[in-house]
Amino acid sequence: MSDQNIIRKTNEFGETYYYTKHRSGLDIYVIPKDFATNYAVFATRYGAIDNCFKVEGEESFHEVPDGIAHYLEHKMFENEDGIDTFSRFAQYGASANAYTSATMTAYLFSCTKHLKENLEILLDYVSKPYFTPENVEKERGIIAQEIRMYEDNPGSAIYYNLLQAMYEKHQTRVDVAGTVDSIARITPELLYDCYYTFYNFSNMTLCVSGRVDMDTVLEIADRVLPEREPKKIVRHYHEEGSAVYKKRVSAEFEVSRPMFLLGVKDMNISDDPQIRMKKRVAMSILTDMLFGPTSDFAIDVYESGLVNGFDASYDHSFDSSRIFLEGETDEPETVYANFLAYLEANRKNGLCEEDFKRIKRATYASYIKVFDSTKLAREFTHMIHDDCDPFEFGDALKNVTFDEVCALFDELFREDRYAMSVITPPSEA
Amino acid sequence: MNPNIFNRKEISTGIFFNAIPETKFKTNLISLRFIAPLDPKTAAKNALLFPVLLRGSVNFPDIGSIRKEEESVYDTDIADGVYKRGDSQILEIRTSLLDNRFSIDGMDITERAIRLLSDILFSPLMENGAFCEEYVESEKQMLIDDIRAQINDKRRYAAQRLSEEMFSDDVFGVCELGTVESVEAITASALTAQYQELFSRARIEIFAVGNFDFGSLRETFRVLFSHARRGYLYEQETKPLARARDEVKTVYERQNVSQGKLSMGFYTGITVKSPDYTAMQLLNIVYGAGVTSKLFLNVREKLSLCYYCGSSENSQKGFLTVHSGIEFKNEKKAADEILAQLKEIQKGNVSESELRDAKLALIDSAERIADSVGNMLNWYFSCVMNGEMITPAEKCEKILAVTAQDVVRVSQSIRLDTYYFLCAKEENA
Repeated sequence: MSDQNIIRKTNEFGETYYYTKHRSGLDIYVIPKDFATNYAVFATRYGAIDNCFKVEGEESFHEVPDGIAHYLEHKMFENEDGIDTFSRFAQYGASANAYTSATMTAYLFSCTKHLKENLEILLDYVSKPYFTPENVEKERGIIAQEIRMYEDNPGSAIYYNLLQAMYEKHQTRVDVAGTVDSIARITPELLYDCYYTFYNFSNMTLCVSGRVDMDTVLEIADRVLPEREPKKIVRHYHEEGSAVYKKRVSAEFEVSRPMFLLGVKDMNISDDPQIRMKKRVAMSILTDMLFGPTSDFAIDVYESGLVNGFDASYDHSFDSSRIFLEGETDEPETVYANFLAYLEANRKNGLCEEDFKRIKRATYASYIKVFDSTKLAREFTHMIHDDCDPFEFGDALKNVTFDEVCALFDELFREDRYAMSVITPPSEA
Repeated sequence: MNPNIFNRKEISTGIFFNAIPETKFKTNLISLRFIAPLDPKTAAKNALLFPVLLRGSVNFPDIGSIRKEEESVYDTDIADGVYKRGDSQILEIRTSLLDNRFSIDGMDITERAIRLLSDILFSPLMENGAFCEEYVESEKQMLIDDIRAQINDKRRYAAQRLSEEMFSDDVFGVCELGTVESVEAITASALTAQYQELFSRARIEIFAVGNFDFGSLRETFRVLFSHARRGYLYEQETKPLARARDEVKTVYERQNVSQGKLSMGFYTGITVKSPDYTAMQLLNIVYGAGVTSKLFLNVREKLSLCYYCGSSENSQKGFLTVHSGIEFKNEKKAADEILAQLKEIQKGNVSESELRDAKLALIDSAERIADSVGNMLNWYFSCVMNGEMITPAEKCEKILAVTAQDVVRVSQSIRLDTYYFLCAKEENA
């Protein structure tokens, strides 16, 4: 069976993974770990941002309703024989789940026993769509309640409001679940169209971690995955400028105290995954130096009581690059003014190399910790979907220099790239 | 996990050192749990204590120096937590640290982390014989914010309101964070007195999970706690719910929300002390925990009434809750179906496959315990609190011994006690 070309890679703290491209076109990664829990993720490069696409050779682009990737994820659990996918997993003690993000739909399970049987179920149900007018209709009520649940969630509202202020056109602004109106337009035909475009094995990855080897996984893949002609997908993402679309957006919610989410937009994303990896590492360190727990900014807003629950995070991958700052405050505009003044002071005085060294080491420690669970199959999948070697983050981290971080600081921060989303309690008492 | 190497020793009156050796992790865990009675007079003070200690100590006098030390020690994380467990309030200070074998500069990570932890716990920054006023006032404000912020997440808010209403005449109804009024009343000297009282009277469970020199670690803690003057220990007993109310307590609350939250509380009469407890856990899975439960399959999948509808049981007080998010107009339909599904179990409708899947799910979660330091800590903490040393493998045997008749039998005692519905303000309803 193993005429496959299997690549083995080991990193400096003894972790190993195996990779091969299956004849179906599927990328398979296996990370052996001596843990009781096995973890598997079967994912497609298809998410909320992919609402305008065609297959190479087709004349025109298909434009589909927002929320369809997520709707499709829900419907994959339906089977022609009427047996629910969850109960198939349950008889082998696995807990199964799925999620849709801006760029990915992932189907996963974890289990302590019957890995083979569960893996077979995973590959089987995700490769067999079964959509009927009745079962598609039935889901509309369930997803509508999921959307309503998020409508009452200020954390979700503040996030999408910010994305829609930062981006004017790019699909990164699209809500993963869509709206009650957009999902009303979803039909079985549209679902099949999206399915056969994006659930092509050459557009997918399988990542398994636990007490497992590549031969076992290949044997199941050989047996279960149907032959499908590879397709080349052409995705259209709307052109987006470097400045934010709107500087401010706000909404009222029944919350105890106003909340803010401030975004720094960056449209400088390389097509070269190596360059993206380097920038991701630099951005991680820069975000922590400026706004992490030991930064002057974070300590100042904490000690002065200006912000409760302050946090900073970043994203840098093929579809989006940005830094977020968030927290609860009575004075969002004061936070914003402090943010501007703080960046100005750093520009004048320069970043601190001592901070760089300390944070670089802490980041390395937190990277090691990722390997303490087979759940790392999820982190792997995210890296792979960004065309990165999952072990290279560690190497890039070792090689990043203070000068690179300083250069990134000079590049990122421009006033026309900042937007802030605010949630306030209702104005009537 | 080799259960024979779990080792527990009393190092001072009512202070126990629990060693859980395991070398497969990259991260180790040290947790100190102080067990105090849940009491409206002390809940707020106890909740405020560790956050104030984490603000500054003699050698690390402000939050900046504490955070920088954590970051320098390979991203060590020292965090506090406040939980409710039966009629006890549990106060935790938890240190998560990288294993020494990953130190790249010869630093003894464990030693440095313990030094910081002991400074925080035993050498708080004092002025005029009391905690630093500024820190106390600032942390009071943050705790008040956290209490008020409970309204922000409607799903959790509804669950908490149900518990408050259900236990309005029971100490279990006391919020583990205290109330806004009780936090406001705390002075620096009152908090300092509570600190001394807690270190003198609380039972203290110290857990070290991972790769340590346990003998020397135990000795370190013994010496550290030898300064604490131990007095009479708190009387500690949880009173289970005695019976369901004769008439169901019904509460409607109106807010500006787009989805209704239906929460129901049931008396079960079965706690972890009961020989039927494992049957109760299985009943909960069959009824409403997870995606193959009767509630999921009927309220969600068959009737499309919700995105989530699930149950959970409380092992200490002997009750069960059901929570769901629904359209306002479907309140009666959903409530009827939730009760009808319980009736089904009480009538004896528990199939062999439902029971088998529930057993597999519970066994699966027991087998996963060995895969995380946090899970191992929680498992053995429950053991010492319940006064029953049981390994996950022994638990699996108990699970296998339960029959469908057992599940039906334990369901007979279940009675609806409290009904809570969070709905829209009249004008939007």
